[in-house]
Amino acid sequence: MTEHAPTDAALREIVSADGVHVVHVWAPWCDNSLNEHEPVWSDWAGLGADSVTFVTVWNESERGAATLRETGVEGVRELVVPGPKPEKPDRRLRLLGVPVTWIPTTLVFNRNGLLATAFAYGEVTREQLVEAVNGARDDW
Amino acid sequence: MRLVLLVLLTAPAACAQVETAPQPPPPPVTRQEAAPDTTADGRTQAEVAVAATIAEPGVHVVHFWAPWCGNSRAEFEAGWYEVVEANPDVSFSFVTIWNDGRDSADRLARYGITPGDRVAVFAQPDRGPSADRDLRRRTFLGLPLSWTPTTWIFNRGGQLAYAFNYGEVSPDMLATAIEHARDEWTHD
Repeated sequence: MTEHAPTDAALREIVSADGVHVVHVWAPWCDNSLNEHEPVWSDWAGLGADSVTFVTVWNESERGAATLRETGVEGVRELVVPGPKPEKPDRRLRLLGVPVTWIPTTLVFNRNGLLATAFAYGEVTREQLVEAVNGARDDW
Repeated sequence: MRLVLLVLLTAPAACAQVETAPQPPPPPVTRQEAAPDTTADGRTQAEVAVAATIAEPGVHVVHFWAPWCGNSRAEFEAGWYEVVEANPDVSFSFVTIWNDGRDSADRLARYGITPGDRVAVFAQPDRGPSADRDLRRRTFLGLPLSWTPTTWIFNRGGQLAYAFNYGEVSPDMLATAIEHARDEWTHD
């Protein structure tokens, strides 16, 4: 399982801040990722998170900014994990200590960098994600 | 939560004084980098067993809890056993954490959950007394553990599908996550 230290370090700084932080792992060529854009991510600012970061992976080191704009996800922060698109069995990486073996994967952090929720299979719904963000903000 | 934890951690000591004659103090438990019950690669027996379970085809729920934790008990009281019974094709591994190595199966049974073919009970030992937070194990199979209760769902031969590492998971949330983990998704 591969790691990319610079991306991990940048993400660590983001999620270590106070509040609730969403990290979304995707690729422009992935239909499952694109299926989420309009219903889930077009109003990313309205999720109620303190930050939302898209991490583009397995995309020949290219950014996905153009695809994000075309699919209605405007102005979101994007980081890129460089590298080629691997074959399916090799699509495995680790971000912030969490294995990513499927895209789209969505991670929610709270408590200054601790994982609260991971949706690491299928497609997440807006309702699920809002519930996860709200839940991560609760004081238990 | 903190108050409940403190009360329950101190409760067994109070009970012991009532139930038994004075005993010599137990030998001090020291920090162990590799406890006797770990394998050469540092995994505990609970990790080895759960890893074997989730590697099998199908959907697997791994639940971390502690009997002294009010949030853990609240989840069970909400009716988790109904989800266990309603999903006979799913395995459930109940792993106590930060509980001095006790699996507390008797407590689990109070909530209608008993070991069987697809329901297993484990205890994850710490590196010393669980009351010492610095000695608690904070990972399981390499994944982060920072909260009890925590629930993970695996599919695809042991891949993580969902992790709920904070708060409480209701029976409905658990049932929905199992249903989604069972779905067949495809990729290019």
